Amino acid sequence: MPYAVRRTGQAVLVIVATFVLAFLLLHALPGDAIVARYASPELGLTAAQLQELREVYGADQPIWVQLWQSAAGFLTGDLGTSLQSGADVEALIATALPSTLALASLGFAVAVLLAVGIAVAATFSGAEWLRRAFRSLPPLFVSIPVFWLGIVLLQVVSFRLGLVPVINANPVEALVLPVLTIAVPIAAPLAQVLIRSIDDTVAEPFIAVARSRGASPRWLLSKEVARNSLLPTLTIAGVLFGELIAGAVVTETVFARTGLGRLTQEAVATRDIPVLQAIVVISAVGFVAINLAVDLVAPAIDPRLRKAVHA
Amino acid sequence: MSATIASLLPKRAERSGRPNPRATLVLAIAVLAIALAWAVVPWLFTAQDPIAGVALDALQAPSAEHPFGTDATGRDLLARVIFGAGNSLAGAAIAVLVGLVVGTAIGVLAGSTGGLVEEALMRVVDVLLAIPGLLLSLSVIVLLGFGVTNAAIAVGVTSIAVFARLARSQVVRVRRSDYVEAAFGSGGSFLAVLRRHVLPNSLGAVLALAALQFGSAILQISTLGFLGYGAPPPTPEWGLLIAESRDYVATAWWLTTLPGLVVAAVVLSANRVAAAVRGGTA
Amino acid sequence: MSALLTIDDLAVSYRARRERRTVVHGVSLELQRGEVLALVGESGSGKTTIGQSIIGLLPEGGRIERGGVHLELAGGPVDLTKLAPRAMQQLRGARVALVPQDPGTSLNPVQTIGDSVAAPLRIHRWGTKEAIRRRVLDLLERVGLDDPARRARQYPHELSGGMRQRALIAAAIALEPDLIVADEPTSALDVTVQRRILDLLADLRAELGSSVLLITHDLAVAAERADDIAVLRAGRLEEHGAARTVLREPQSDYTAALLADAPALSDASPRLPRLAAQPLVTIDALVHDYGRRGAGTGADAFRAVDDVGLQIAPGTTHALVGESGSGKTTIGRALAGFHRPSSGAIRIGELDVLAERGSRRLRRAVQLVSQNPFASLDPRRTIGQTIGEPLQNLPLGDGGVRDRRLLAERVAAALQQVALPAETADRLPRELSGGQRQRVAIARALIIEPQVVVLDEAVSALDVTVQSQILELLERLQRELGLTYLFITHDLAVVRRIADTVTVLRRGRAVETGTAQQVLTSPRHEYTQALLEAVPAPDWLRDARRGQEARTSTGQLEVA
Repeated sequence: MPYAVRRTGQAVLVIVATFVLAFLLLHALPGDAIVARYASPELGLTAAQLQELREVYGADQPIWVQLWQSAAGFLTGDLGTSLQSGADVEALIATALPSTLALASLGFAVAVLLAVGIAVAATFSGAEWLRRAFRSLPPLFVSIPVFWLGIVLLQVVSFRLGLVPVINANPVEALVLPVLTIAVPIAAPLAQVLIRSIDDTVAEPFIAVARSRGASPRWLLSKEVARNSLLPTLTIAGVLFGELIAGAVVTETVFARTGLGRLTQEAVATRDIPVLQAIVVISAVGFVAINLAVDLVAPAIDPRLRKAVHA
Repeated sequence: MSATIASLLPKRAERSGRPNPRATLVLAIAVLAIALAWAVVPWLFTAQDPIAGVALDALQAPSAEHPFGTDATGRDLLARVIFGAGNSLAGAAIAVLVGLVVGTAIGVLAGSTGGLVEEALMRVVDVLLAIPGLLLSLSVIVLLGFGVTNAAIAVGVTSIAVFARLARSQVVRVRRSDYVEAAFGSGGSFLAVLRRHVLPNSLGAVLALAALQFGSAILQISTLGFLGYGAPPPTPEWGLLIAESRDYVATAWWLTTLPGLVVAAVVLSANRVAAAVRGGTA
Repeated sequence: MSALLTIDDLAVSYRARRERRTVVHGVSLELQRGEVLALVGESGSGKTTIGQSIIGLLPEGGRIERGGVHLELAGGPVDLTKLAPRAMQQLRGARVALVPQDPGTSLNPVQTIGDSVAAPLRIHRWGTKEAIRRRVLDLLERVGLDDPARRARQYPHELSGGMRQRALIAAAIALEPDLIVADEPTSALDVTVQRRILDLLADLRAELGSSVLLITHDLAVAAERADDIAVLRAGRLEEHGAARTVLREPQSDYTAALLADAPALSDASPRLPRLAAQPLVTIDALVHDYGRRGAGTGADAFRAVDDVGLQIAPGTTHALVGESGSGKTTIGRALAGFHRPSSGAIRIGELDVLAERGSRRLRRAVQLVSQNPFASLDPRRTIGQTIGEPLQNLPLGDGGVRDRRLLAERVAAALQQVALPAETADRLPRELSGGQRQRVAIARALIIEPQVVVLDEAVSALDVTVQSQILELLERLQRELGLTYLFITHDLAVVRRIADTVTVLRRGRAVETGTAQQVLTSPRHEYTQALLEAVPAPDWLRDARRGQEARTSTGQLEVA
């Protein structure tokens, strides 16, 4: 079986398993989602009314029937109904997505620039103290609470320095601080992996051989090191995707932006299970798709992997 | 020590007096020791009440009496940070323990049995990895309900997959080693070899990961606290503390800045110690 | 004629764990234009460090403490240690070139062979793109690679080790350097390939008039290939002179010991065949396929062992000789019961090895000692625990020991047997040298008193003097305990010393089998002849050996 087909099959299997797990996990609540949401005394619903609600949402059926209906729904783009607002989940997500996409993609781009800059400076700058300083940045970034970073940025940049307005900001201005906030937790692991893989590559014998041919540092970095360091970095793409999602939840909460993260935060606060389930499954699909893409692209970067592809 | 690109550049005279790597380690251990003491015997470090405030003293900037200032209800912020250490550190410990115990059990079982058991367990791990960490812990919280312990368990669940993968790869690596082969070759039984060779040589890296996870667990728990899924107010908890002070960013800078610095310092120290632990076991 | 390269009182130190350790203590050498100087030494002798100092590529933490490295160039003499980094960069690859040790890791894995060979030309701006392309093809052809155009497009992993080393040599000679530093250029290669690569280097040197600094651990290679030899030990020069003089009349005791221990330079004759008894070990029609099940169906199926049979008489040593991929390790592991071959039979006395796989009876009959003494001992357990472990595994009443005092006594006896001091029992593996660790591995194998020991390249990772001591130990134990050895090796020179009988393997097939004397002195198969021819030795030693062969064969005639 061709490698690409086998690998895609694996990816689909993981997605199916994730769907089942997410469904079972979120429906393993004591009672069921309806009881969890509506049974609190202040709503004052009678048992009969609850039963009626159950029937409306299909929660009176056996769990495997619900699982099947939910799966069929996902395949046809029907992600269910929000228990909180009664709106279609796919509509909620469609409204929230563009703003989060803008935030995440800009944040990711800034993070890549930041990480590459730190990694090159940490391995390439002339003075040892400078290299040490840049090397200590990623561990520092990893240790900073993202939500705190957002608040401090707001405090310093907007309130103290007055550089970016908080009220009546245009869409671009409103993006500046959130993008910076989300970029830091992405840049930190990326820079760490980059520095490590550059270090590993430089220690390889073929680098010493290239130096023995008279190669300059610039030649080494561009011709020998860069491509060899790229692959280990790509393998953490999936992890970075997870960080982006977590970053979006926190950043959107801090800056009160609408988006998927905010939707997630509200769904958890109100135990709106259909919404949360849809977001979990969609994220898992994203994670699996990214890892699949990396595995399929890797042979183009490293010829040693091409054999495995054809085998 | 690994080479760097910069080592290819013209060499300068070696600098004397560059920072001693041991010094930062000692500092990190000191920070952790203080945080631990705050968690165990907070009353020794402050005479102020972390819960009851004095309304007249509300929103005071840091001073000799209130080194971290006071919050909107006049509570001493330093006292709240000190009393919050218990919640944060205990939560992190629970989280690490959950990941360590469950993850290592899965990984060791998968790595030492192999075959179908390994295949099935590692696919479950793949699924756990496929759900972004924060979403996984939020799902667990929805399942278990809000609260300090539940948040800690939720954070622990997210690290199960990482522990399982590492434990499995370590067990597999050791199992392939010549000395394990020699042990089997001299008549050692499966359990004897597992006990004598495989576990002692695999678990070093797993414990180093546990040390590293401690810092990240503090961060994740404070994030859940900030989002409002951890300890309920007025419990002093580091993430919640920062969340509560968001409304005062424009006027009371100390309310967010100082607790955040404490969290960052503790996490940074935990990671520094973890790096030293890893260096020692590798 | 003035020397091309003059090393004058060179001292080099390294920074290790915040202290400086000097590894080269004032070495002075001379290399004449167009000649070959061999730098010979065991691990830790500083030979590679000297090579790195010449080419200006000491690893991080390395520093030249004093002394000079003078190179006589067309534009006048230069001291390489005093040269500005940029000027040194211009010399590297152009006037001074490197042929590295391990062709497996010395080529950029994501670059084509053509790009790797073109690198020095591009770096030194040798010519136009098109001129460089043509030059690369010429070079690849010159180093004996077939179909240069195709090779230039291939990646390193698609080439064999020998082909990679040829490509690296092509890159080294691209700019016709005055000096070629060849750092163990053939240690990672099979002997027959080693010979061809050394021949190629010799041809190119003659053609280009370059000088070669040949760094090697192998005195025999030096003896065969060098005009001058310098012997290093622990960073100091032991001896420096014309190759012939150094080998025939060594001035230092150390050189004399090295000469005595180097199996390839020994003119001792192979063991004479001993009285044939009933064989103890019988391997019959052994076949093993790797890859998919059902032999030869899949593209990745691979027959590692193809119908091999052999017999070993009790108390004798049978050598299994072959290059990488010959299947020798597979056979040894099958005999030790570590894996099940696809078909065939293996017996030790009355014991059916394949039926008894994993049983205690088999464990007590055969033990394995593997190549790498660093990997075969558990780093966290003391030597005493390691050696005593087999006794704890055996059941009580069947050789098992549980009593602590008794166990300690047995461990002490085992240590004494392999000539290690009793206090070694409390040490950890990392506190021991490679030779000591291999003694421990042998003690662990012998403590349950097996009849047969499989020695899988058991001395290959060791320096020659240590190798010689371990071989001596193995011979003594065989005499004292009546052990039967299956000795797996790639090194025919070692076979000459230790084996009674020999099987020569090639790609899984036994091409020749017989007594050591017959196989080593009058080989029938041309592959065996090629292997023997490839063992490096200076011509005068070959001549001496031929004379001795004549004597032994006539001696046999008299007996017959």
